Amino acid sequence: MAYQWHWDVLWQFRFALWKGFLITIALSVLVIIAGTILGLIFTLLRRVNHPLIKWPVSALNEILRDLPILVILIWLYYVLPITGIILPGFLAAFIGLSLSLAAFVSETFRSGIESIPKGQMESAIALGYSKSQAMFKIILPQAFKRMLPNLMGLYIHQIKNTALASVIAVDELLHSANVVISTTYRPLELYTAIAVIYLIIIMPVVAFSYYIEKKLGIKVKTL
Amino acid sequence: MKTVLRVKGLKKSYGDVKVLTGVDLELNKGEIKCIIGGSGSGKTTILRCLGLLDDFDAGEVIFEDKDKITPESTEKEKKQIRDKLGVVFQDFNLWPHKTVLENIMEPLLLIRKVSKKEAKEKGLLMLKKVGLKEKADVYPDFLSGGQKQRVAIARTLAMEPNILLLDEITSALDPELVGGILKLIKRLAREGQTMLLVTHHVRFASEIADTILFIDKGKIIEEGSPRSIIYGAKEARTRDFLKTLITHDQEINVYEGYEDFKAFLIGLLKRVKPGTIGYVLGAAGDRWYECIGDAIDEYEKIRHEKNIKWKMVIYKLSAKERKTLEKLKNMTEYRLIPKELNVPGNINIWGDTILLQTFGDPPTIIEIKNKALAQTYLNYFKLLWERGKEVN
Repeated sequence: MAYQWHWDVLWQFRFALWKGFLITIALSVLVIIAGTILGLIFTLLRRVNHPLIKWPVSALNEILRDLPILVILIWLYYVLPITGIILPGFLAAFIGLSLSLAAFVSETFRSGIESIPKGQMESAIALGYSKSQAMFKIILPQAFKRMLPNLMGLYIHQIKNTALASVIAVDELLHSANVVISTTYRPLELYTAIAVIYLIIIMPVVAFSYYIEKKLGIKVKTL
Repeated sequence: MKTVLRVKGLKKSYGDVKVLTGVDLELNKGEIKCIIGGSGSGKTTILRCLGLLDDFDAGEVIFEDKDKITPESTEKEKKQIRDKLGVVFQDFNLWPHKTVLENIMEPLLLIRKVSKKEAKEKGLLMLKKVGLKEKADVYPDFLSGGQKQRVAIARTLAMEPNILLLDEITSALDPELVGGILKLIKRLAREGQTMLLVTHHVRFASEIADTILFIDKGKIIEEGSPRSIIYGAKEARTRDFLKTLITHDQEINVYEGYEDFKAFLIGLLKRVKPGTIGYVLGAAGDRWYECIGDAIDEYEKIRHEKNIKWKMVIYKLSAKERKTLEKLKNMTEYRLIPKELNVPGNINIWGDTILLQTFGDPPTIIEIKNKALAQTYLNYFKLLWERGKEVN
């Protein structure tokens, strides 16, 4: 016998799904902003010529990159409380996802910065720029353009990773679906619906990344 | 005269390699000094140290008789001095994400803190000075090397440096682009700009410098007026260096007669690197084979062993040329061009060397070593090559 689809459960629980949708978006936006800023800070600290700054940051960066994100989230939520620091699920997810994104963003920034010829920094220094002025005015704008495609890829990946927050009881999309399923016993409808919703969230970001690449690729004022 | 730069006992090494072994020099206001020397002599390192871009291990640099920089100086002290210096680099180092005008304006806005209007006016004035006003809104990637270097000079001059340090500013340019830069530097010299240049362009150095310094193994070993250095260097090492430069610039030799013709062609094959391609414009057909005579077997043997290729544009294949094609199949390519485009006698291009061969009796080869000319002929060859039809 064919499966009887009951799509009406979606309408019935629209508010729960809507909330999940909003939380997924909020978590994604916050993680992307925090992860990028933190990633830049990691990169700059790793370039500081002082062993007590450079090496611990590098080590942290490496650990964050090597650990599965799920493990980071579970550790923050279930293990950290033993030290007395108890984080609500959303905060733990925000911190964990931001840290892991930062580690990858930092790698992207590093390779972006290293791809800029040394002479670019030197000419700025020779004209009287300080090192940080040269970094922010000359190196990073050029590096940013080169690493943007890579960065957009990381963002898209991390939006998808917000689904992992469901295991630490964050009311995001997947978790909301699970809650609804536990009362309606309609997993097929709900999992299909959230798959579509994830696509609706991700696809504009993908389109935007193509647009931005195209726009930055062509940069001609006059010939 | 006011001394603006005084260097005492400058030393620097990279690991075990001693690059500077004790450099002393003085530069007065309005004076132009050129440092010349072979590669690895340390000339660029001196300039980088004086520009405070590289640290040095020992010695001191005194600016305007008051500011002293030593290896112990802090970054802050160095930054203050850098404000008074201008450095122009071999590879321009323009910022590709900014237009030409923005490249000049930004340091003025950020470091000199002038108003936007003032920066723009100054930028356009500097561009006018270097003859590139119409390129103000273009991105550097759309400029030729010579234009880029002129913008780089304009950017540095806009900051009104007391001392201008120029590091091999013509080295990355094609020979035909050097002229414009040299003219610009000469004009700056007339305006009284204090300059220290590093160059291997001896003729240029002799035209603008008040003094030429010759550096060898990290030390200045000779110093004097351009005339005294070029025509009467006291040190043997200076004389050797000048000699190599002058012979390398251009060389013309003539080989006349059957014996010289053969010997030269065989010698050429022995000299070139394996895998070299010889480009030939036009051909003398069987007459070339007559001239090379019994040396052809050796010639083709060397070609075979060293994988030396021929690429020829020709209007008609002679019987012997066809035979060569069969014998050295992967090393010989002909393309047929219309008869009116054929070159009488023939012109060969082997790297930087051009051979003009005439096939009278006796035959003659004129050998010209000149990089720019060889490049021009090669471009001409490529044009014909593209128009030609392949021969199988």
